[in-house]
Amino acid sequence: MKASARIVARAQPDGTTRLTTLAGEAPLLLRRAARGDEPAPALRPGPPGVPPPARVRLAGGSAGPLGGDELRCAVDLGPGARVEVFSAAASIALPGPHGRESSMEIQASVSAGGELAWRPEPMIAARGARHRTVIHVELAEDARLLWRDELVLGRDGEDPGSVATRLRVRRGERTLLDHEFALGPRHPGSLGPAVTGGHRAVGAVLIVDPAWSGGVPAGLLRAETLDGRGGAVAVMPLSGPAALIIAAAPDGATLSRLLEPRMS
Amino acid sequence: MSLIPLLLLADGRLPSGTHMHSGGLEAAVRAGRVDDADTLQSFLLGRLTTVGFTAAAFAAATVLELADGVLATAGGGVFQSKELAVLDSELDARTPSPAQREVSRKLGRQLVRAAGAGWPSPVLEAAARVHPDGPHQPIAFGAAAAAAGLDVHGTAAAAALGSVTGPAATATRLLNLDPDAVTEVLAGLAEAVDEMAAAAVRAARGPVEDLPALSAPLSDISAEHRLTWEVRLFDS
Repeated sequence: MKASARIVARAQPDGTTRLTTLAGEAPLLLRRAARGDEPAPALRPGPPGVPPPARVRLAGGSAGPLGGDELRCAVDLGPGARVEVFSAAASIALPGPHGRESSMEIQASVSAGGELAWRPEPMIAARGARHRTVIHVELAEDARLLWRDELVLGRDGEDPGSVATRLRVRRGERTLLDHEFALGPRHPGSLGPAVTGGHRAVGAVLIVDPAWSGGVPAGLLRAETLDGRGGAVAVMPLSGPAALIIAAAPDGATLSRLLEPRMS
Repeated sequence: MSLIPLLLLADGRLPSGTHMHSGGLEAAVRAGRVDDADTLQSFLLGRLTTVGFTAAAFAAATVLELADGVLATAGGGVFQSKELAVLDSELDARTPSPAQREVSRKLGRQLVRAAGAGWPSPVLEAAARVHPDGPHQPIAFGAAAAAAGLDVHGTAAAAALGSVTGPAATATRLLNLDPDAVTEVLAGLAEAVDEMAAAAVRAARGPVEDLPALSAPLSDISAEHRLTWEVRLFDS
C-alpha cells in the first residue's frame, strides 16, 4: 500500500501556530490533537506567555506498516511555527505477503525561529518484519528540533524483526547528524556485543537548540551503563548546538525512561 | 597497483598509533559482553558492519577524490580539495560520540605523519589541513592510500580489514586469548570483510549523502562511559 501525509504549519500574528494543511491517507492518518490526549509536557515549555505549539497526532492504527508498504510524510514549518507530533500507540512493523520491505520516508523542514518536536511511540519490529525509515530534516540556523526514535525488536517473547532508521539533519549549510540504526537478523552483527548486546530496545533522541551555541549544558550530560539487565545511555554533544541521547535497554519501557532528557 | 604499499598500509606495525586502541573491545570485555572466541567474533562482525563499513566507504571515497590530485600535483605544488573537507565534515556528522571523534582525529593525524614518511605527497598535506585537529582516520587513510598509489578496491579492503584487526590484536591481552584462536576468528571473518569492502566501493561511487552512517549504539555509549573509568589499558 502506498500512502502519503503532509503537515504545513504557519505562525500567526498572535504567536500561535496554525496547521494550514493536515492531510493523510490510511494507514498514515493525521489528527489535530484533542484536549485530553496530549502527551507529557514538552522538554522545555516555552517562556511564560508563549502559546503552546500546535499538536498533531499520528493515528496509523497499531497494525502496520506491512511489508511492501511505501509511506511518505512531508512536514513544512514556516518561520516561527511550532509543532509537536506524537502518536497514541506503538506501531508494529509486520512482514508482508511477498517478503518485501516496508518503508517510510519523512522530509521535514523547519524555518527560522520554528520548532519541531517529533516523538511518536516506539516502532516494534515483529518477527520476520523488514522495515526501513529514512528521515531528512532541514533546519534553519535558529530553528529548534527534538526528534525521538525508539525501536523494539520483536513483540513480547517473540524473535526480533529487522528495522533500520536513518536520521539525517542539515542545519544551515552543514550536515549536523547522519545516524542510522540497522538492527535485527537481516543486519549481520547487529544483535552482537558491539551493537545491541542482546538488548531488545534501542533508541535515540536528538535535541537541537541554537541557545547551546556555547556548548550543551553540562547538567544534561551523562553516561551510564547499568549493571546486569538495566540498559545503558549516553548523552553525546555533537559538533554544533545539539546533543544525541542514545540508549539500549532490555525492554521498551526501560528504554523510554533512559531516553528522557533530564538535567542533573 | 603494486601490492606492496597495500600490505604496508594494512600492516598493524605501521607506526600510526592503532595498537593503543581496542575499538570498544576493552569496554565490551569489562561489561562481560565479550568473554571468548565466539563472542569476540560476534563483536568484530558488529564493528565491521557498522563503523568498519562506514570507515571503508569514506576511505574509498577519499581515494577516488584524490587520485586525480596526485597526478595533477606530481610536479609539486599546492593541492586543494573542497570535497575532502566535505567528506571529513560528513564523517564528523556520522560520529555522535565526542570521545570517538577525538580518537578518530588523533589517529588521523598520526596516520598522515606516518604515511608522509613513506609516501610524501601534497594530498597528505591537503588531508592534514581539512580540520584544525587533523582529519578523521578514514579520510587520512584514503589520503595515505592515494599517496601510496592504492586503488579504490585495495583501499576499501584494507580499511575494512583494519576495523577488525586492530581490536583483534588487543584481544590476546584483554581476554587472555590464545593468539591462534584470534587468527581463527579473523580468518572466519574474511568473507564478511570482502563483502563490506565491495559494498564500500559501491557506496563511494555514489553521492556523499548516501555514504553509510551505521551506528553501533552500545559501542557509542561505552566510548562515553569509559571516560569515567580510573584505569584503562587502551586509549579507546
